[in-house]
Amino acid sequence: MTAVTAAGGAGARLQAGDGAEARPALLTLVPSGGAPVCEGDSCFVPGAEGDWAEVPD
Amino acid sequence: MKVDVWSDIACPWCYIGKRKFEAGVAAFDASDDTPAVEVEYHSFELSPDTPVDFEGTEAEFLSGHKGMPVEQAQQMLDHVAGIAASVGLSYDFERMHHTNTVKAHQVIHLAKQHGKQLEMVERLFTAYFERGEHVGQDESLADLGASIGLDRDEVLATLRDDAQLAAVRADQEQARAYGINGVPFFVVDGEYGVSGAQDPQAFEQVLRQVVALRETTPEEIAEQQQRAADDAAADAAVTR
Repeated sequence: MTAVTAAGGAGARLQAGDGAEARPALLTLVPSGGAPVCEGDSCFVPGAEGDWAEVPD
Repeated sequence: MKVDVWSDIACPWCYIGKRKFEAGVAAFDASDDTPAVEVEYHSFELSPDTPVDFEGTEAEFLSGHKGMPVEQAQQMLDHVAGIAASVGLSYDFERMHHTNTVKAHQVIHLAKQHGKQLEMVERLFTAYFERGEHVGQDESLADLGASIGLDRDEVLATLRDDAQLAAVRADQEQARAYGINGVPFFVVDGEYGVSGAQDPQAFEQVLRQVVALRETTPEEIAEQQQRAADDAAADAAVTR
């Protein structure tokens, strides 16, 4: 099973952006290793060697 | 237990992540003593400047957009399609209509008002990635909405008037407030964030971890943190 660790403390909490309505911070539960995610107009996936390779969306 | 999911229809990892999340929830639900999981989807536009219509294949779009050879773009798409296949999805990038998704998000919000949000999200994902259906044009979206039981004319009126655009923007604002930069992103009970298309086992473990955290008082958490800090300080002292 994939190890899941809670990254606690203020440093690990997601902070509200500038000018955004104040909302509760999130405590990130971070499974070990990278998971595929899309940001902007690009998507990323961990490569076979563990490196992140860009895969545009 | 509530899970809020930020995703975009034009996000290959969001559909793959949806399948993996659903598998994780199913494993979580298999235990008798676990709470029911309520899921709500929220809007996230990865590329708001994308045009509604593009003539050509997805590989050709990527080639022009990223300045890479078509063959390289195709290789990347084949890689993603292979991963999609591993979770039972048949991505068809040849038939895909690359498009803007803001209107699709409006239809998702309309469907939520009618208690059909999850059906609409699934229908839009399969339309975009598997069936080569257009998810950016009013008429096509009206057909897709009707296919899950929405009133076709209401879908068209919603899109004509941008009646759900404020709801889309509110979701995006909340994502910014949370600091969400990429999708899929999962927020459990409004407190715990999980980024990316994790494996089912990871989702299941996160849900179980949140249940355990629910049963832990703030005082107990503070004590645990203090003990951890004390242990770390003791370890540091020993190694000096």
